[in-house]
Amino acid sequence: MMNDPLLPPTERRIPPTPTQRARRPGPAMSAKILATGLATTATLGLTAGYAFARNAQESQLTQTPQTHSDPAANNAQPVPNVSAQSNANSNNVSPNSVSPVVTTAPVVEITVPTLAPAQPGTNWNGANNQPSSGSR
Amino acid sequence: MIILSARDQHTVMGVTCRVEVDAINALQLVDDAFSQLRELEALWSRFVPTSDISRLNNANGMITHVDHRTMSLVETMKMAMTHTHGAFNPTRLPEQIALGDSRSLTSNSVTTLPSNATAFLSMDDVCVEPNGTVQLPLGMTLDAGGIGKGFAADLVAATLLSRGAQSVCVNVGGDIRVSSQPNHRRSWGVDVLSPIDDLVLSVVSLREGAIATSARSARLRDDHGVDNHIQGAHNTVAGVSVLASTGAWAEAWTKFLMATPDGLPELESYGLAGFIVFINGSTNATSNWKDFTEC
Repeated sequence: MMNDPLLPPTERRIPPTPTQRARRPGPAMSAKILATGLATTATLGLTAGYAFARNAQESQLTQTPQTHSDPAANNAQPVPNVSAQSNANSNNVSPNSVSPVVTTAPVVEITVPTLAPAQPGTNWNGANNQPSSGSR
Repeated sequence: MIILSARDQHTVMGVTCRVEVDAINALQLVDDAFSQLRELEALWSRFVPTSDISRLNNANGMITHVDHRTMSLVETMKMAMTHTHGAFNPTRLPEQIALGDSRSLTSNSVTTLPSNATAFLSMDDVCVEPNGTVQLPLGMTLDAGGIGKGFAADLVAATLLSRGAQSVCVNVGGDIRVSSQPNHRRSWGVDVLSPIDDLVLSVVSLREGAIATSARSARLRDDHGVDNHIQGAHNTVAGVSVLASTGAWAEAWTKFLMATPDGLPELESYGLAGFIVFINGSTNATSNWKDFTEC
């Protein structure tokens, strides 16, 4: 056998009987199995790693903080109930990015002011009153 | 914590705007208010060719991308036109221009409309899409006009509160919005002036909400403008004022009252308060108007 280059040429080899336990693979075979295993593991690991990295990047893109170009949207007061949300900033990806950029249309919530009564006050101090006289 | 009070006034949107703010940073907030008012003027003026309103008016039925605040304004217009049975109608700009109301009162700018522009009886066919587009039917044009001023007052007041103001009063040419933080109960006094001689006819106190006043001769200044620019106004009415939760709604309902002076009960059925000044100088008001006035 190639694995026994130093075996004397005259020595007779006895084939193993069926009941005999098969010979354990030699060091070279073990090395091959080990190498294959390592390669497989590395391949799977890298694939999983890339997958995780890609998922993480996509997640980061979709979780870009939404902008409120209208500060009134953050107002806790019930009126004028105008709010707007935009995810247009999700396009802010560095030019070196290799992952696909998912472009979505801005989503704007449209609301109109609620029709309700005004609340009367208790101050009629004329010194600083505002004038209401039509659109002038 | 020291709360300061600051006020200022400038001409924006073709009218005198007065802003008063109670806040730690009151001076800064007053400046912010006028910056936002100018921004809204650039969006909604029919005298600015690049405004959203001008672009919509000249889109010839095509889809137009607009600012989200314009989208809300158009949606508010639609709802106001429906609620007021068409008395508030922002599509009557072609008729208004035909009467001579094409020129700005503060500059030499002129409104230009497509030749097919015409008034509509409904805004039901106006499409406002969440992706930021508005599509007007072919031939429809819009005038932000009074409701734009009322809505601007609402937006500015809300912005100021969100930036730390304790109480604000935003007056955009007579469309006044007042608002306060829940723990800051300030009342604001408003003088309702006669559309005939500018005398104070009623003094109103508001803690939260808005008052809008419309006058038949609102666009008549120094013999410049038109004498009767409010289309559909009843021939006995000189001017009206309405109290509502917001400036946009108050303004829309003034158009209803201008056209329907016997509509005070309907106004009151919504919890709104109204005040009418007739051409002959007499007045009338909803029964709840006195809740806002000094007895």
